[in-house]
Amino acid sequence: MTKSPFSHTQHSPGSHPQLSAQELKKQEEFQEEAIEHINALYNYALHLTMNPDDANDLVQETYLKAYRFFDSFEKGTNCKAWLFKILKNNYINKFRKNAREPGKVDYDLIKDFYHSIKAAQSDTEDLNAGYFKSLMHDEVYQALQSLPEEFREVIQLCDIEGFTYEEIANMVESPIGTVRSRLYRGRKLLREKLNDFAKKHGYTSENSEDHH
Amino acid sequence: MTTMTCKEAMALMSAAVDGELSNIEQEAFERHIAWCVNCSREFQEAKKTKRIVREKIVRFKAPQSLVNSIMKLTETPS
Ligand SMILES: [Zn+2]
Repeated sequence: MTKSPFSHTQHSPGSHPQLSAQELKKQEEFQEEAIEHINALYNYALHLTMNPDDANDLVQETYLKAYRFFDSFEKGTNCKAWLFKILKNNYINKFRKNAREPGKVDYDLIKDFYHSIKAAQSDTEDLNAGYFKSLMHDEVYQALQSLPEEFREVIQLCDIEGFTYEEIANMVESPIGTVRSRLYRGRKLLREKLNDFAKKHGYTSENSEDHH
Repeated sequence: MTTMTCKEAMALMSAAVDGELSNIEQEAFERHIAWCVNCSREFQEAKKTKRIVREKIVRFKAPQSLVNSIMKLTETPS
């Protein structure tokens, strides 16, 4: 993040007379620990809901809850994992009733979703910031979205967000062994979808060590 | 140490890719893929898949309106 969105120099003295010293400290700590994860949470919410408005609400509710219960966050533990867990719980409470059946993927929905995001995103200044580049990104995104939810989720949490197996097991409420096997099977499924793409763009297993 | 079977190696595959093996598992896994062409290839392919996802996935930025509303939230007493 290039700048903190939370510099609040614009307040005249006494604009928040109701904030006690303790609350100010909480606010400061929260901003320091929790806010930097907003983009990660937003992306997670998008993947879960496949709908920008729902993702927006979900992230907002997550932060509302997180701020209210910030006392229960253990200092020194992974704040990002704590926020993801809150978001996941919120998602289950809010959307799970109407969710797609696991394993059933609506390709038209995915396509609509992707284009609606693209359209929404193009209104902002961030269009040139590298969030959209090429068809390659498109293909990977849609390949991942087309996986059954149980596989897609662990791949996101592990490969994109970098959580440990223990943190993922806690978020998806399954044993670590289940996380392991879902990742194994999920990557195999994804690999099949990406195979053509990989050949086309020169990813080969022979030079698989990082060389960027 | 007894040699690991392919089935056992497959069960450890994702954890090997993600650096989540214990030292003992790591040792046994490496020993296995050193001679098993099949598992060795699986391992390379799984690493490749992870790398593609990491490098190519589209990341969206949270809308500024969302950032602003969360900022407001922390400026009022809870
Ligand atoms: Zn083998």
